[in-house]
Amino acid sequence: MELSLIRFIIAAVLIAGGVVVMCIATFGVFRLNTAMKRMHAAAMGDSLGILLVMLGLMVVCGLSASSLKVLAILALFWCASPVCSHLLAKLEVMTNLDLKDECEVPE
Amino acid sequence: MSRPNPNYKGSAWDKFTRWAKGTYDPADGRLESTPPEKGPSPGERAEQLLREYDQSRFEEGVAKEVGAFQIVSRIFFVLMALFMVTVLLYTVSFLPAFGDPNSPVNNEVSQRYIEQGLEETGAVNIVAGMILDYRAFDTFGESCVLFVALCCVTILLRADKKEDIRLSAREELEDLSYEPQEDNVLQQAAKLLVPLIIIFGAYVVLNGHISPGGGFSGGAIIGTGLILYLTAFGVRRTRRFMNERVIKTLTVCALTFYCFAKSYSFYTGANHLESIITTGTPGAILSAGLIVYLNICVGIVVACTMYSFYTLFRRGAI
Repeated sequence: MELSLIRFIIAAVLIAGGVVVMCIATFGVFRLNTAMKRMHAAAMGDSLGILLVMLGLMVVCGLSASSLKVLAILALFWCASPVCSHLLAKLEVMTNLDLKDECEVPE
Repeated sequence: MSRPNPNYKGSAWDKFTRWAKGTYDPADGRLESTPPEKGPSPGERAEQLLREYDQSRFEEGVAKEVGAFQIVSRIFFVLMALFMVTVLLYTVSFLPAFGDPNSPVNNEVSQRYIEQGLEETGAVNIVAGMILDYRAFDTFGESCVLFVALCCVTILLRADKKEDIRLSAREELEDLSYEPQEDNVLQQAAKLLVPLIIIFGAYVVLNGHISPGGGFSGGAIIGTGLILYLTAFGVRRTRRFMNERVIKTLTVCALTFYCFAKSYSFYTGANHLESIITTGTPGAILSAGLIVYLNICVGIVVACTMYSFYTLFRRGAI
């Protein structure tokens, strides 16, 4: 098998996996009933889905400046998205009075 | 001396005496009719009836006249929409085909921009050469629109100064209670990200004449970095370097410099200040004449506007 074909297959599998993860995350965001569960679903797309798609793009680009830029985007997302989730969860805990009915809260 | 009758209570005589006193009613509980409830007085009742009658007449009238009007207006709206669709589609049918070389868009203006833009402005990025050199006054107007918008938002949203100091202090405390207070996670992330974001924004501004980017996008990036810093470290620490006076000074200075530089350039026959700033070698960071400096001005205005909008909408003060 040619090298470019192998590379194409690897990239296609990675990007398709990322898209599937994103789809599951979107489905969860619309399907789950409480804010915490929805955040849990959305965080999957922000971390694993982005990782898979960006890895696929890096395989497509090969060793080049574009790959580095994609890596920078990935680093930025991984820095920003968990912090956003943390702040959202904090606000939800602060403002939601029925939190104990919705999920387990450690004392 | 008569002794009390043990069967007296409930006897006919007892009932009679109590009836005579008015505390007993033999018909009580045996009649089917109930005494009338305390209701509205006859006058009120009449008024209520009259009001109900008016209401029903009014609704009848509404159903008769407004209903007809509604049907007519709906038909009219549909006809209006169809008319607009027809006019627009008819106009579209006269437009040249996409990519038609003979279309009037492909005239000598764009040809000149593409062929001689690099030579005349020194900007590798033709778009930057266009918006900041050939059409610099247009961009000046856009920057002024941002400035005017900032002024209007300030007038509309600025919190009034309270006479009572304690009241204003309490209000500020209540405002602050909804912010992430000294959140360690956010602060560490901001320490890592804010310098990177602001450096990237400065890179985009300074490279506006070489690569895609420029004052508008770079200024927006810098503004985002400032907003992140404000969210992470609070108002008090951010106010030390981004307060109302600094923003006013920066914006007005940038706009004034832009205005004078470009006015002089146009006054001298659009010669791009040849004697002071040359177009330089295309691709170098200090090339393209005035474009770099104008980009910096636009970037400052955009960053200040974004940051001020955020703070004004959040707490009514810069």
